[in-house]
Amino acid sequence: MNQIKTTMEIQTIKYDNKIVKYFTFATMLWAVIGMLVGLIAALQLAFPEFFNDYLGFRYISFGRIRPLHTNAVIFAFVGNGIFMGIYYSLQRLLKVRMWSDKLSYLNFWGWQFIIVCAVLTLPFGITSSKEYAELEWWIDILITLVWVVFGWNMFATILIRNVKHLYVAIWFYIATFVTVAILHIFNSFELPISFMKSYSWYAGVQDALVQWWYGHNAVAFFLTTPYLGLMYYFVPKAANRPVYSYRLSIIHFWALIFIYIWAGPHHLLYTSLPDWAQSLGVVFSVMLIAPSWGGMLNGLLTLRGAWDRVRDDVMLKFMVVALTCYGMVTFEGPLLSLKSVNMISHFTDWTIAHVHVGGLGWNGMMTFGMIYWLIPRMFKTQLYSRKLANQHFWIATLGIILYAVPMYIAGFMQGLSWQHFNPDGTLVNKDFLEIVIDMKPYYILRSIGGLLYIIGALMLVYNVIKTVRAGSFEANEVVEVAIEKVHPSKGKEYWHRSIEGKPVRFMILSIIVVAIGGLAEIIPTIAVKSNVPTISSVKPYSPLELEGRDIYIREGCNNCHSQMIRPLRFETARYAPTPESGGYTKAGEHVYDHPFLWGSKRTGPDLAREGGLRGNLWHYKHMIDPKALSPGTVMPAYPWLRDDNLNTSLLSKKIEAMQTMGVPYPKGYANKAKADLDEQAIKIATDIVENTPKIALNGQDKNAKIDELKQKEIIALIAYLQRMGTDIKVKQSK
Amino acid sequence: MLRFIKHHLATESGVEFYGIFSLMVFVLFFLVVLIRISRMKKSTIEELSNIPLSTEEPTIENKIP
Repeated sequence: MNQIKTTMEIQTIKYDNKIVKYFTFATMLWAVIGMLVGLIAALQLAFPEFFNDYLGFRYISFGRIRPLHTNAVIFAFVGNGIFMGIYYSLQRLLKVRMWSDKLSYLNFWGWQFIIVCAVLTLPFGITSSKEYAELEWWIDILITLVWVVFGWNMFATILIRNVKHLYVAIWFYIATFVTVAILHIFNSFELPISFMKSYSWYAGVQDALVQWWYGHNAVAFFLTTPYLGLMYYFVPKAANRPVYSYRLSIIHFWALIFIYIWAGPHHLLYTSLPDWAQSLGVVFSVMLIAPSWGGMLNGLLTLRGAWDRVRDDVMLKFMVVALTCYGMVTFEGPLLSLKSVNMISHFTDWTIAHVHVGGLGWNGMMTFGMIYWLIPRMFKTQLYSRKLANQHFWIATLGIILYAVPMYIAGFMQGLSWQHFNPDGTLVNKDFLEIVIDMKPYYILRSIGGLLYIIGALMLVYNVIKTVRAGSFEANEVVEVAIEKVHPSKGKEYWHRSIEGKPVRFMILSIIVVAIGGLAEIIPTIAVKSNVPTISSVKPYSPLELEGRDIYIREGCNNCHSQMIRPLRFETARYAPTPESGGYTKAGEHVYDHPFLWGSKRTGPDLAREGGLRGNLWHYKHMIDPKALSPGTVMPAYPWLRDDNLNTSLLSKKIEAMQTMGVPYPKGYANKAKADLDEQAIKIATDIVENTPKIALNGQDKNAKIDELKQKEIIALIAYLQRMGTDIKVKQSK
Repeated sequence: MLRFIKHHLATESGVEFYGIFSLMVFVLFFLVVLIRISRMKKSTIEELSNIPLSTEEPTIENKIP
């Protein structure tokens, strides 16, 4: 034995249950809201005509509420779930009340305030466009502050603890805190140009790499590590037996946080990201299966010899399905990161199926299990209806299946149809729209799956309300615990005990482990200039195109349209069919893209080489009424782009911001930009009016119509669309 | 045309360092973890894994009626 001496002492402790209660209620509230927003988004794809005709409000158009759904579910539902579980388990694992009540409630109200800010900005098109990091710069700062409050409170609590060792769950909490902080700060480097608008500091390939390093690790360190920590606490609690293998949990922890951080580039396979970075991402993604399955098995095997209880115990049921879904998702993840599989799956609904098995299955079911466990204990009563909870379990499980299976089928169909060639070498589904229309039945089915899942969540809410009414809440749970008093002495300790006994040292080691992966991947891409081959014909956007690009970002077009033609035959055959069209996407084409807009999903076709493919009038009509030109399309209409005048008040600031970030506009261009903008707008407006049949002008004078049209937002957007991918197209001589 | 994606960084001197460095760090780190874990005592393991169970919570019936 080591030479640390301990003595026992009985102490009275008051655990703060009120903060856990607050977070539990917030979790349930945001669960229902976040899922409802998701259901609306799903219904928009299933019944686009209905939404266009009756609910075509800009604030709920797909491009704006899809980010609202992802943010609400990840940061509001799961985020509050994390705090709920941590605030409960941390106090008990350390046998001490949270260090500061003030910080606890600052954490709570601060987090809710951030969520409300998200709800009040995203539907209004105030977004940075970077997935799961859409919130504007000042909200990013708020997130940082509240996250520090949470970490500070947690660390101070760890330092005043009444136990010697930090249980494995707490290592996961610490890794979560540290890594999310690093990820969030590095991905959020933005240059604000106004209160509601900023540009990503990084551009093109670099922005993509940093974004997906963040995006992937948001999944890893926000949706996974904290929940694994909670799993290591709540599963043994529910099963009333220790975790299957503590040794495995140590390996699980270090392997997971070490490997996860490298895997981000698997989101960018076959893109313009450097080849070596892609390969690195694939190798580490495949390796991830080991720690992930180690953790899953550790959780499931905790129930060894007690499987009969799973049949009867509703809470264990939720946890078993959660762990099983975690196992499936983490098996599928490495699979999806293989280049050959990714070639089919990327940009399709397969990804949507994958994340929902994780979100609904792993995070959702685990959260429900925790709530069913916590509420009766905090309210000192039995659960109102265990039968209802059991029904919730079955309806939720059915919902997951009904959601995931159609999306898998849709994903396979999309991936295969996109690359289906005729024997003569032409594409079978030449028109992207044909494939979109085939998806309708699956979009309807998954909406039903989502609806069932929400009904389940409402059953939980009802059950909790009834339980809460019947019980009596004890805000401060008084317990008497035997406390180990540590008397440090010099001597040899176990290596890991010496780390886990010293939280600060533990945190530093975690930072180092996480930083190695991040730095080795990002430094070369950021630092080495030659990494992005310069293409001399690539020029900065014109002022009108820049404004149009911001409208593209505001409307969230990147949620459904990629701008990344992969170097694959079926991609170039579809999107860049002629030798003059520029071919697949090159890294050098995006050097002025702050932020990058490659997208991750193709509900609609890729737009990387859209410029010049169609006339201005086509785009004009298509934006106002897409289904008139593409019958059966799921694209929403954007009539407000025709009605609203373009706001150019920030134009010179935008140009200056771009110059600050190294975009080579001529000196003093900010002052001349407006004149160039007007000139280009008149050209496009004239072209549209000239090509419009007389009858469609409704007797209006042509010049008056041009004067009116040139100021509209739609002109800027068309300018941007017509610019896309044209820099390296071979110019036709007239 | 493939040069645009094929040879990023390939010409940069010392770029192979990142790959070798990554592999080395990974292998060494896990060897250390595995060796250390194999040397932990069983009694310690037991003590640690029982930490969550050391607190008393009110007994709640979870059985489905």
